[in-house]
Amino acid sequence: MSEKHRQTENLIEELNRLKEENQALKAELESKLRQEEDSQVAFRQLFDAAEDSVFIKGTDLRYRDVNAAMEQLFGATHDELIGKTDLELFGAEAAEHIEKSDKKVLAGEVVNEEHTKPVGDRMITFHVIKTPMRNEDGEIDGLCGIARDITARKKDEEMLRNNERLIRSMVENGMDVITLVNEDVSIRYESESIKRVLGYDPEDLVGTSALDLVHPDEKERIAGLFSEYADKPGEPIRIECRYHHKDGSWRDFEAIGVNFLNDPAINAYVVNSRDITERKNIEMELRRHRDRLEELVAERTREITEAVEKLKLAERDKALILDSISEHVVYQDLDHTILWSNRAAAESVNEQINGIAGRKCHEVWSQSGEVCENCPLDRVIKSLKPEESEVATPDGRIWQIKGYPVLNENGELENFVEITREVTEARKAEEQKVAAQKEAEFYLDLMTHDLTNFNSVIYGNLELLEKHSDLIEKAVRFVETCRRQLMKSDSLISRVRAFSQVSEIEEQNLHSVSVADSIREMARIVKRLYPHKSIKVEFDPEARGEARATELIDSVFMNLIENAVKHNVKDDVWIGIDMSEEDDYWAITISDNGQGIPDAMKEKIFDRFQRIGREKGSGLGLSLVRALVEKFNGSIAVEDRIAGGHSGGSVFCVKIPKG
Amino acid sequence: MGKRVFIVEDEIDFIDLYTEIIELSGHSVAGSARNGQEAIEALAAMKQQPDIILMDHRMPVKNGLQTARELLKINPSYHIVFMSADRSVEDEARAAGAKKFFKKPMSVDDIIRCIEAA
Repeated sequence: MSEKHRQTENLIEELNRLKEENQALKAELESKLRQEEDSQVAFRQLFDAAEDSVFIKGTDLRYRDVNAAMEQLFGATHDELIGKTDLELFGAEAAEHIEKSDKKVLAGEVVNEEHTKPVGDRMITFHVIKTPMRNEDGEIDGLCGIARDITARKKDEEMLRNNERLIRSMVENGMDVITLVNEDVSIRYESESIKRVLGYDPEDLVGTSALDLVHPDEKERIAGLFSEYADKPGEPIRIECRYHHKDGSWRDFEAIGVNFLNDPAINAYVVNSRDITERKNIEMELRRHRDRLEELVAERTREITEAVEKLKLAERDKALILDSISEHVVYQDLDHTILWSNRAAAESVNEQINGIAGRKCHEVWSQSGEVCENCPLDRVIKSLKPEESEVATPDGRIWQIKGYPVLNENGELENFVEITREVTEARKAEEQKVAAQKEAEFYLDLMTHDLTNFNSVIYGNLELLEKHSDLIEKAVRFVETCRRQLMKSDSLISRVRAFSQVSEIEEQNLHSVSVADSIREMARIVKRLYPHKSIKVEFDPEARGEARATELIDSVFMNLIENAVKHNVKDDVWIGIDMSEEDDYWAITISDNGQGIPDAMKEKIFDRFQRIGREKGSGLGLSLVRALVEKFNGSIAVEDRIAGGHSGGSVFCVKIPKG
Repeated sequence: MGKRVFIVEDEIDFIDLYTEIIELSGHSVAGSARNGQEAIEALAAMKQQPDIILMDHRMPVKNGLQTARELLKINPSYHIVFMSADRSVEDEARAAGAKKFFKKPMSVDDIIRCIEAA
């Protein structure tokens, strides 16, 4: 084999190899072209499927291609966006920035930026990455950009930053100290506030034991707490202990720690501590003050209790003193409301002391809604001095009331004290005294006037008898006159005696006496006493009747018959006496033809010691008659004899129980 | 010459006594009345008025003081002498115009002197 042949064979071999290679390359090229075609389609699909806006600009900075996301962003079709400029899409201000940026890309830079642009009526922040596009020759013939809407993310980031700033500010400027403690109790993080609170720089403490600054007396307890809570993730630990200040002092701390060792993001105890030294001091001070206050309160309470006890004793003494006196002591306000009273006051109306307190004085004692007419307290208001008066209550009792003003330190009237005592008996005694005086005066008048009159006549007649004893006829008359005067005198003395005996008549002394005989005998005597008058007494001579009385019944008829004569100015006196039965009574009427008794005097004539107009008559007669008739359980009344006027004479009607 | 005396007295025994005294002493009773009202009426009816009036005080219908005042109003020249056991009215009697006041009992001579002095 020749060289040439070998060379030819080699060339043929080479040619075949090249041919094979060519065919392989051709196949590869076809494959690549197919791949390229497939890639173009895939790229388009990918291009449009992208959520971010993807765009291609030419060197003239007009949009050559945009994806579906961009169409959606602007609400325009692909064809509408192609050829547009940024001026048209974003406005002048944004376009200027974009143009500068695009030019950098066209100069070969890759621009990665965030930019806020107006899209429609919204401002949208985009994260934009733009890269230059080159042709086959490597020359830049445009740019490709991808823009992601990060408006929401930016807002979140802004909020996060703000929150972070806030938390940092709170951690660093707050009173609380935040400490992250590793599982081995070494400090991983200390907030800035530690410097303000304990005087240390945080970096000085990071890496040291969290127990280093704890008071030696409390280290073991705190270490125990860390151990105890190592197995209690998430459970808060409350710690109270003393920490060492850089200035050498000990500060009281209150802390809450939480085991986050299992949290991969934290992997530590998070301890939030607060200096409570001031609070403790204040609490201690407060406790000291409270203790002092309690001491003072106890002391004061003791004093007050003692004072109250003394007051109670004084009140008790006062009550005992005031309750032991018979006068009513009533303390009342200006409205007459009873504030306090002693026992005698309450018992006078059958009440307890508490039963009358709060009620009006006049309601209690006078059962009246109005203040008593003679109430001295109303005068005290004006005079501001003690005043006194007497008041009669409906039950007939008489009270002497002394009202005393109770003045305050300014001299103003604040309340009253009323001291009341019953003077019913005293007044009765006074009335009896007055009556006795009146009686004494009355008897004196009888003695000095009536008896003097009788005696005057006797004296005069005896004097005449002495001077003219020779005149027998006259002498007999003088003596008769004297005897008559003595009879009158005797009659008067009898009446006075009878009066004094009236009170002695008792029920058991009453017995049967003849009414008719008494009437007849008294009429006979009266006729003898008044010989100068023509006296006609009409009384049934057959009348008989026994009454339950005493012999003093004679005084009843003597007075009634004599009055009919004595007070009759006529010389011809007529007296009509009738006696009849009325059930268990004798009804005796004694009529006369005298001048009668005016209506106004009909009741008054029976009053004791009453001499009407100081006229004739002892003033004893009719009151004696009524007193006797009443003692005999009877009654007496006077009427006009002739209806329509008193001048026709009187009729005395006496009723006495039958004997 | 005897005096004419008018007696005002409700007690008949006094009238009788005064009458005896007056007549036994040479004077005469011009009249008498048993109360003040009777006296005023009787005196008004008398043609010849008395020289002296003896006047009691306590009498029914009208007492001596009232009677004296009314009589002196009618005739201020009446010579009225009060004779009463009630001394308490003496001043009032004099104030009313009585010439004299005798407190009973008085003597027969007093009465005669009084009449003769009128």
